[in-house]
Order: sequence, then structure tokens, then C-alpha cells
Amino acid sequence: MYRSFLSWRYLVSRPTNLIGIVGILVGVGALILILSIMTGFLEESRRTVRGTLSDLIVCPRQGERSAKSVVSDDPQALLRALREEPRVAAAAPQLLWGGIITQRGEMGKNYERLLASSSLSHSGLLAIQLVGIDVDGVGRLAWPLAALAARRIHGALPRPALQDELDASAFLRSLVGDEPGQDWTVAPPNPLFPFLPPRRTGLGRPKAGVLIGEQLFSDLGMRLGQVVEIGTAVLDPARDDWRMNNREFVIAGTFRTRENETDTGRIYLDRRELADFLGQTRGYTQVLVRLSDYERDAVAVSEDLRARLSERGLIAGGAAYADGRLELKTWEEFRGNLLGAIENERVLMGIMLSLVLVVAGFTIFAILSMMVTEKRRDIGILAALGATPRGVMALFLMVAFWDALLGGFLGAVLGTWGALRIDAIERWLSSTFGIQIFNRDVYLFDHIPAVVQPLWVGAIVLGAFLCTLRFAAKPAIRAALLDPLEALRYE
Amino acid sequence: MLSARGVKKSFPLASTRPRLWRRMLRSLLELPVTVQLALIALNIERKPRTRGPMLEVLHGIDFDLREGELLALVGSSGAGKSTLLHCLGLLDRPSEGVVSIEGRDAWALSLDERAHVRNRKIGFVFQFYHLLPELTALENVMLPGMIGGSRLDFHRNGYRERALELLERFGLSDRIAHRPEELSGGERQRVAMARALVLEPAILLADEPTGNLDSATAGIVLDLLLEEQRRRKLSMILVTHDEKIAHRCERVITMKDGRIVPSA
Repeated sequence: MYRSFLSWRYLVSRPTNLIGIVGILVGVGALILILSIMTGFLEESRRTVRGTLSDLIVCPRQGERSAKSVVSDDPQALLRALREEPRVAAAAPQLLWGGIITQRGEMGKNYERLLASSSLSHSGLLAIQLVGIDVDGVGRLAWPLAALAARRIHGALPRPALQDELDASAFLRSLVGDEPGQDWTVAPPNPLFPFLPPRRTGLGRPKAGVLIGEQLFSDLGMRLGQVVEIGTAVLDPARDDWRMNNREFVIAGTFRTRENETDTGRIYLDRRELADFLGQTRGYTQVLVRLSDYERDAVAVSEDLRARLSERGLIAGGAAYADGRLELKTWEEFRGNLLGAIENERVLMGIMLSLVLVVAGFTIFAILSMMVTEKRRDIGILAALGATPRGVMALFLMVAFWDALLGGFLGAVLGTWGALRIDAIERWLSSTFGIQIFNRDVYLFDHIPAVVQPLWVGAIVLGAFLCTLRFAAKPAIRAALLDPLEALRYE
Repeated sequence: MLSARGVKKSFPLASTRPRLWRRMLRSLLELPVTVQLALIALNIERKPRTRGPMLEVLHGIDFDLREGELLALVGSSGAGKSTLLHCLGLLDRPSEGVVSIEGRDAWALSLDERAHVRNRKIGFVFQFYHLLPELTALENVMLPGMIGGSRLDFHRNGYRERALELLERFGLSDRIAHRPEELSGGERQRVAMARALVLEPAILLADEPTGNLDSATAGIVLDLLLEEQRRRKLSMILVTHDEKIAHRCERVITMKDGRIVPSA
């Protein structure tokens, strides 16, 4: 009983103990705060990065020799093989190419003025990524009507297993609101519109519709239905040289993802239209695959598919899987460097901040060592009254225990509160000191993400306890080994 | 008659045949069978320390304390009185010899058992009070009770009530919440006495209890101490260099140069 009683009395009667408590508080609080923010960055980055990629991405090296022949630029055989796999929910091809928005089109003279005032281009050219996708517009439009009719006659009609971009791409699915919890949007709320057959707007070839990023749309002062000219370089096989090709498109809609790079640099259009724009030199660049259960099947399915596709000559692959890994990747492998970098940063931050706890431990060591020296007479008195050496050691360890308990608890509370209110704290600091702490233009998200993981909080507090008790052990043992008579005679 | 060495060799008998072992000790000390002994010290030797504070040496001390006896240990400064007291009180291990308390060789016990004996069987009153400065008078008196057992034992045995009763008897009922720095020398020594008596020990060891007090206060404190000894029939050793105090005790043992001076 005397250990807890006396240790608490020693703690509250000596102001220097506050230094030890504050040290642990700062260490625990900083660790929780920083790790929560880094975890938030990691999860936000995963979501952001994930949003643009499907579960698996297949990029066959077209034209190269495979096990059977040369890898074809027609995606149909590859799509059939992928869709045969029961764990694959959908697969759809994509054609990616680069282009520029030229000065002609309806923007005319306003274009240069707008471009000069825009932050999007520094050379008078607006580079954009053209993404050609397949959308089974007829199937998607026809099904609701067919379902309505069938219900009247036969009851509910099962939804057909469509396998186009909207099924295969997690990103585009989220844009049309199929994915819960996303705040990306598309306007007008009918993304099928651009991918209906090109509409006639006058003489000449009908202009196809494009879906343009909202940031780009508003920065250039565009409007829906406006014609925009896009130029690109196309390889001319006859001359074995590059030539420019321009075409006019109609702005049929916009999308908004809150990612600056995507909202300013990407344009969606029909894949066949883009292939035609490129002079039929390319049919597709990659195939996006969505799995029924990514978390469960990703690794197994990707290994199986690499082997199967390589065997059938649909990817160049090689006898060794290592080669096939370049052509078929999970989205995490695709973004491995970025995610790995953030994860490494988190680990390094954690290690560096843990050193704060070590410093706090040294502080505890110093404080307890001083206390043992000051309390030598008390130790002798306790021994004379019947305290055992083990009891004396436990007494001083309990002082450290109280330090760790108070410092750890308060640090956990402050660190957690700080992580949950980090945005408000950042805004207050920025406005008070006139500095910008978090530049929202730099990052892909407009708030400081923070995820508090209770398990981590518990582990950090436990680590603080163990560190404190470890550093307290030596002075406590020294107290236990004191000769009572020597202690009593200490002046 | 058994030699000291012979007695030492018979130590296993202390636990297996305690009565026989006590008879053997009595025969060595030439004591009649009817005398009950609280403490026996046999052939106590204390050699000089190689480190730590310098202590007086002891040579071949044979000593007994009867139950309920008030014994004075006198001698000039450096005679070895305090050293002997510390050996008897299990604070300092003798280089040689036996200290038997209630028929058990105290220095053969484990650390924890010896601590238990110091807590339950022995009460100490020091010259310089040795109170814990962070605790109040009441808490200082309760401290042996806190050390000796769990919280449940503390409350079950009513140690707080005992402490309050002792402090009231010693005239300190209005000082129980005061810390030692707020008490006078006499008040501190009375708190120390109450602490020594709270667990009703069998043996009380007082090392110059009035040595740090003025004469008036010393008289009051001594009267209180001796009254308690009589009332409880405590076996008590009082170390003093004051002959007047010694003459108030039942028996006086004189020490000189680490030895007991045989009585005339």
C-alpha cells in the first residue's frame, strides 16, 4: 500500500517531476499527431490514386513476339480471355494518346487572350491526355426500357452483364455515382451522351462529343455544346514519319474529381472515334479489369492471368513470370513507387519521433536519479520500518509509472484531439502568424487528412510506458541496493 | 556448558527443536529456565567497514534482553552502543555471532523475513527522529502499517485508528495534519515514538531519544517513553550516555571500546 501512496506523494510534492511528464506528453502527442496525418495522407493518396485506375491494368506490348505469334493490336481476343476468368467482373479496353487544344474552333480570338491569362499553359499550347473508352450506350439505354416492359409481362428482368468502361473502371464508375462515398461529379448527369453517335452540327463530318475536365472547362471559359479543336501527332506508316492531325469535337459534358491534374489534363471520348482520329494506327493501349473481390483475389488472379495470357500469346510475356509483370499489374503495383514513398515517409517519421520518447526517457532517468539521491534518508527510514529492497525499488518505479500514466494519457488525448481538429488548427495558425502551412494547390486534396487508429494510439502509449520504466529501472535498483545504515546516516 | 561455536552449529535446531535450542542458549548465558527472553545476542563481532560510514567495532558481545525489561546501554561516545543497537535491530549485519529474536536466528532469515521482523517485532526511535518530510504526522505514524500489509490489512487492523489514539495520548491530536517541518523537536520525537509503537512491537530500540532535545522537552519525552514501556510491558533497550537516564532503567549495561564492561 505504501508504494502507491508514497510514490504519488513524491510525484506531486516535487515540481521537477512535471518536466518528465511534459516530456512524455510531447513525445506521445507528437507521435500520434504525425502518424495520424501520415496515415491520412497515405489513405487519401491511395484513394486518389486508386480512383484513376482499375483493379488490374493489362498493357500488352503490341507488335512484339509472344509464345504463339505477334501480340495483336485488336483487343477482342484479349477481352475474351479476360472475361472467361470467373473472378473477373468486367474488362474494357482504353486507348490513350496525347493531344493539344489548338487555337482554332469557336473560341477564335478569345482563345489567345484566355490562354495568356490562364495558368494552364506556358508555351501557348495546352497539352491534354486523350482517353478513348467504350461505353455500351445502346445496351445501357435499352435495358431500363426492356426491364420496364418485361416487368409488366414476366416480372423482374435481370440486369445484363455489361462489360464496358463504366463497369471496368472504378474511376469512371465513381464519376457516374455508382461508387458510394465519392464526391466526384459529372455534368450534365448523363455521361452516355458523348458516346452516342456524333451529332451533326452542320456541313461535313459529324462532330463527336467529348467529356472535359471542369477545371479546364472553366479556366478556358468554355460552354456546353461549344466546338473545340484538338490536334495530335500521328505516325504515317507510308512515310514512316509523324504528321499533325486536327479535328473538331463538341463539348458534351464535364467531370470534376477535385484532382487538379485530372481536371485540367484529361479528355474522354469514344474509343473508336479516337482510333479514327489517329488514322486507325492504334486500336487500344490497355485493358482495364475489375475483379469481383480485389482484396481477396488480386494476387492470385494476376498470377493466373499472366500465365494464361502468356501461354496464349496474348501478351509478349516470357517463360518467366517476371517478364509478364510488366504487362499485367494490379493498381498497387502500378503506383507502387508513389505509395511506397509515402509509406517509407511514415515509417521514417515514426522512427524519428520515437527518439523524442527516448529523450523523455533520459529525462526520467535524470529526475529519478536525483530523487534517489535526495531520498536516501527516506530509504533508510523505510528499511528500518520494514520495507524490503524489492519494495523500495517498486516505490521508485511507481513514480516513473505515474509519470508515464499522466504523460501518456494527456499526450494521447492531445494528440488525438489535434489530429481530429488539424484543419481548424492549421487555419488558425495560418491566420494568426500570416503563413501558409498547408498549400491546398500542391496536394491532391483540399484538407489535411488525418486518420486516428486506436491500435496505434494504444501501441504508442504502451511504448511510452515501457521506455519510461526501462529508463527508471537503474535508479530504482540503485535505491534498492542502498545500505539502510548508510542511508540513515546520509546528510 | 555449550560453547558459542557449538551453539552456532546447532542452528538447524532453531526451527526443528526451538525449545531445546532456547535451553541451550540459556545454559550458555547461565540464565534460569523461568526467565523469558525477548532477544539474545551471542558472540557479536563487528569488524570495521571497508567502505561507507565508519562504525565502531564490537568484540565478542554476549547479550540478552528479557521480556518486559527496560535495559539501558551506556558508554562514552565511540563505545559501540549504536553499532550494537543496529546489529540487534537487524539494520547492520554483524561479522560474527547470532541474534535470536523469539527463538529464531534473525540474520539467518531471508531479506523479506528480516524486513517483516523489523516491521512487526521491532520498533525504532532515533535520535534525529527520521520522519518522512512529505508526510503529515498522522501519515508518518501510519507508515509501518502501510508497509506491513495490503490496503485491506491496513483497514481491517484499524491502523489509522491506532495512530490517532497514540497521537492523542501523546498530546498531538491538533497536530496530526502538520508536516514535520511545522513541528517542534519534542513534537517530532513524540510522532517518532508513536510510529515505533503503532504495530505494538515486542522490542523497542531507542537510540539517544532525547539527545537532540532541550532538557525540559527531553524530560517530557522520556517520561512518555518510559510510561509506555511500563504500560505495554515492552522489552526495551535505551541507548544513552546520560547516567541519570540510565538509572531510571531496570538494568544497565556499560560498554567500552566495543566490549561489555562486566558489572561489579
